[in-house]
Amino acid sequence: MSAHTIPNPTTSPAPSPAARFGRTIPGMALLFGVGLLGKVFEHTTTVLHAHHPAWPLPHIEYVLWAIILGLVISNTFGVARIFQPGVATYELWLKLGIVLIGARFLMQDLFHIGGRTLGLVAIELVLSLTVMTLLGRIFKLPPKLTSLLSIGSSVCGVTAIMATQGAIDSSEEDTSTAMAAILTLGAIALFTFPAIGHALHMSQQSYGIWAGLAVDNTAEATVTGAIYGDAAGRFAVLAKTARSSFLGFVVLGYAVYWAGQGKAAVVENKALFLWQKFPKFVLGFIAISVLATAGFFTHGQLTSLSNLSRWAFLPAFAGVGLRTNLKDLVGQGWRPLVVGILGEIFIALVTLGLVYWSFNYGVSQ
Amino acid sequence: MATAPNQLPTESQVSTPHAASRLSINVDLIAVTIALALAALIRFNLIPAIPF
Repeated sequence: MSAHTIPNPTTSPAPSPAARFGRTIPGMALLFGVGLLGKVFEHTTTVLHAHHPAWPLPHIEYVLWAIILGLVISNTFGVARIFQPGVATYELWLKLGIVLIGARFLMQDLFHIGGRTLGLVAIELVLSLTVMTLLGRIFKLPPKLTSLLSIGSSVCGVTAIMATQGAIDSSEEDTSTAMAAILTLGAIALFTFPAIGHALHMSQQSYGIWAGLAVDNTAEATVTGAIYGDAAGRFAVLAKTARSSFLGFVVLGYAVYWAGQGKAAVVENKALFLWQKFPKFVLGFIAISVLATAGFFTHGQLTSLSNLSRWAFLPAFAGVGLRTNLKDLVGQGWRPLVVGILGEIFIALVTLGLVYWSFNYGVSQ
Repeated sequence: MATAPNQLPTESQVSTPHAASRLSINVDLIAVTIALALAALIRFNLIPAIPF
């Protein structure tokens, strides 16, 4: 058979947007179902505790219920294929929640708290990039895996790794390993950070900023903050958003470095590269905050926007649990995980110290 | 290839880095568009007060 008669394997028509949306419905229903069940569990335990004070019922917020339920489903039954496209939309709900929560920050707050937070982010970036690079060399990790781990732990986790993957031409194996390490560390932070925060009697503001500075993935940082309290969740989003805004600069730095080594494509237009890598949802967050500061919304409307952001976070929290498979996470190589753990412990301690120092020993509001 | 870190399709599984980048930008733009549309609806009282 001549080459001309070989059937083209790509002739099957791409699914229409309506068909692709239809495929996400079961998974989105699962996300909202798990999130709502978390709210029902929280309400039920609160009512039971009010009627039966002697019963040893733990007070668990809906955030933690949603994650626990998601983790149980993911690690027992697994997430069936029919649900997977919809569960993957958790990132959309997360970003929608982040943009809407901009209504809770006036611009003067952003300049005041955000300005200090930006300073802390700059320090955190330099320290984490340096320490992760050193640890990668000590543990003899492949250089590009070290770069991915450094960027993932310093900026914004999986998103940063994906943004860097193409820019430095890293292998699929290095990318998967770096993502697994970052996700594992994020899962550990969900349970350790709130315990540390309570042990140190940290304020909502200080704890939230600490979580936003030290937890890598945007989803896990938001959840780690929200588990501690509503205000802590908002401050975690603020610090995490400040961190994410550095993404383009860090990725550009690594792209230029690896291009200089002859192991990645040269960046022709640096300004365009920065714009392409800049997380656009940050602009939405700022736009809503500007509108709120300008008095565009009444007090009641601001409350509605804030509640809408909570509704958007609900499926995102469920998604964090549903997409975390503990068996896969522990099945990775031990060296990247050890580098990640050592680096993250260092970053967590340094950022905790910075927050204590800059936010009045963690007790200011 | 190493074990995938999670069981769900991720942006890294998109065939090219450019496609992954486009997907991420699309999610951001969709989120911002929905948020601004909801904010407008609330501002002009086209949807009632939202409790949580």
